[in-house]
Amino acid sequence: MSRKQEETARVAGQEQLAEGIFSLLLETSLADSARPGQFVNLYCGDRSRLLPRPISICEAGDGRLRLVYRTVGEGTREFAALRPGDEVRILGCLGNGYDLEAAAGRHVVVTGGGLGVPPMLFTARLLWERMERHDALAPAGLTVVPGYRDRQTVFLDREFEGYGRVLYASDDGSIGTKGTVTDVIRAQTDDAEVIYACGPLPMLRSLAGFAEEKRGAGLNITCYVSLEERMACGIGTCLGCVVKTTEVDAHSRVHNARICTEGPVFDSRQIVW
Amino acid sequence: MSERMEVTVAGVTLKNPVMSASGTFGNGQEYAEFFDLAKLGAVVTKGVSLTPWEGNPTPRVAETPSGMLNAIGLQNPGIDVFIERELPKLREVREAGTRIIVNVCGHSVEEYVGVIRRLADEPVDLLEINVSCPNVKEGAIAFGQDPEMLRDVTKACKNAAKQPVIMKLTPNVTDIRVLARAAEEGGADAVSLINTLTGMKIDVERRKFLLANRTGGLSGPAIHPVAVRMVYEAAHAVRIPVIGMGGIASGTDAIEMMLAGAAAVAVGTATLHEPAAMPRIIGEMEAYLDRHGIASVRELIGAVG
Ligand SMILES: Cc1cc2nc3c(=O)[nH]c(=O)nc-3n(C[C@H](O)[C@H](O)[C@H](O)COP(=O)(O)OP(=O)(O)OC[C@H]3O[C@@H](n4cnc5c(N)ncnc54)[C@H](O)[C@@H]3O)c2cc1C
Ligand SMILES: Cc1cc2nc3c(=O)[nH]c(=O)nc-3n(C[C@H](O)[C@H](O)[C@H](O)COP(=O)(O)O)c2cc1C
Ligand code: FES
Repeated sequence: MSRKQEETARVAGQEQLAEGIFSLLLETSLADSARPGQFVNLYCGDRSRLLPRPISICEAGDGRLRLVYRTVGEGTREFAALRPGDEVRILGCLGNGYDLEAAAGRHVVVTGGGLGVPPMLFTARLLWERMERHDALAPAGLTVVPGYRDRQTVFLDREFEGYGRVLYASDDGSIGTKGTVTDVIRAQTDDAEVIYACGPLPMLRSLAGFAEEKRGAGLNITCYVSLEERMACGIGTCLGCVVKTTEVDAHSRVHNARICTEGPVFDSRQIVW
Repeated sequence: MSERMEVTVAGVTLKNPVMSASGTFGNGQEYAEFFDLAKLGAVVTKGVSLTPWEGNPTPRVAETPSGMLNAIGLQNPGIDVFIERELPKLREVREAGTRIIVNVCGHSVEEYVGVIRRLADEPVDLLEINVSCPNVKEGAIAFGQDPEMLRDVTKACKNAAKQPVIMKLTPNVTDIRVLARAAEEGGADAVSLINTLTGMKIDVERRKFLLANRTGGLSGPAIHPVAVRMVYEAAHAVRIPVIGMGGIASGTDAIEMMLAGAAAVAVGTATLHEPAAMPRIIGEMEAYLDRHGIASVRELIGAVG
């Protein structure tokens, strides 16, 4: 595993993608070791806000990290005001990331819901590139399922075009199919063997249930989910960010794995839902 | 590092006065990626209990202005795993002269004593007893909130311990001097303070508690002035050394704590925000000595007037 580092990143650009959704481009040495599903901690310039803001890596390469986030409070609002040339303190790259080797030779679904969409861009691109290269670890097929609430909350949608089959889901049907990403996966992909997912808990729970159901029917399917929790350190020391697991965890041996360290990505079978 | 940064606590010499605050530094290894742990005066480990503790439900942390609340609930793998897996990793740092202080927690006197006994022949320099834990026998009031109970648990720990004992005091009391004296009477070799101040945060939009545990311990710069006051009061109430902590984020904060009477200082929340906060703080303290032409950091202890 690559070393974690704290550094001051330079803002290379920022654009607004939709109402309250921003895309931040950072120049940082962390970019080169980034893996899909990992995240970084951004720190506020205002020292009265001490805790890190964990943000998933949306894209990485050429010495740059792209982060896509929603302004929900003071911290993210501070980031939204960053302009090219500004500096921001960053810690990364954190967490395990998706096990992309599990995709080798299998039919893969990459799905994100809402603010879970951004990390799926990096994931889908790497998988697609493997397919194009006929890499030994390439999946046999790739379907991307971005899910949104409605047409107003859509972002990054176009950027998935070109990475395999793209099926959109929205709660009100104003873009793609009306329903949840699980509905779409169930109705339109009967061949999923590996699912990589990030999104709100109800979405992940329903995907975990879907995978369980398929396994019950004799299918060999693995569902990887990326979880969120409030964090203080991001590197495994404070034990703030745990999730209940079915097996004893490596750290405390009490069924409480650290999302920042053992996660944020877990096999859905590891989680007590 | 020169001798001018050395301090002595409970008969143990530290190469400098700066140590990690328990629970904010894991058992050190995670931070070895960010700086050489041997730069520290001491590494204070995460609280360890006799058996594994699960801790509280999540959310366990919340941000507050210039601070944070935590209700981790002392999740830890228990003393057996700690000795087998964690302590050996600290051997090299200890050989480089950084002291190892093990923070101990328990729900009963027997549990504290059990952990302390297990550590008797281990490579540990000092013990720090966290008396903010609820006493299950006495209706879950913290050991550190009642002078009698504190005196008794201190005595029991001292009787069981091979290493010098630091009693870590909770600030959630009316008069810290009474508790500091109780620890001294019980035979403590030093006291450390402050642990976190109990607080609460409510999400007004959702009308829900932010922490699953409802209450949590406040730490960070927000508590620094309270900590300075309490360290000052404790240092004037007892003859044993006082280790000061609470909101230290700079060399200036650390010096302030020493001027209030602390013989050494611990840094907690600042490390969560900035992994290499402690080596920076040590550098800033040295710069202060240079700037004021002070020969030894020991001259600063209690030197406010
Ligand atoms: C592993 C991980 C990856 C994430 N990736 C993204 C992403 O790619 N894009 C995105 O928009 N958001 C992401 N989030 C959520 C993001 O961290 C929060 O929206 C952000 O911290 C809010 O900060 P704030 O100051 O604006 O909000 P405030 O509510 O003012 O923040 C107060 C405190 O609560 C914490 N907090 C608030 N909401 C969350 C949350 N949902 N999860 C964790 N901590 C929270 C903040 O970090 C801060 O410490 C991710 C969270 C995690 C844990
Ligand atoms: C996340 C977290 C975990 C903590 N865990 C412990 C612990 O296990 N044992 C203990 O004695 N104190 C624990 N503390 C208290 C700190 O050691 C320290 O006393 C307090 O945070 C004040 O210092 P600070 O403001 O520098 O953080 C913890 C504090 C935090 C923030
Ligand atoms: S955020 Fe501290 S252990 Fe995960």
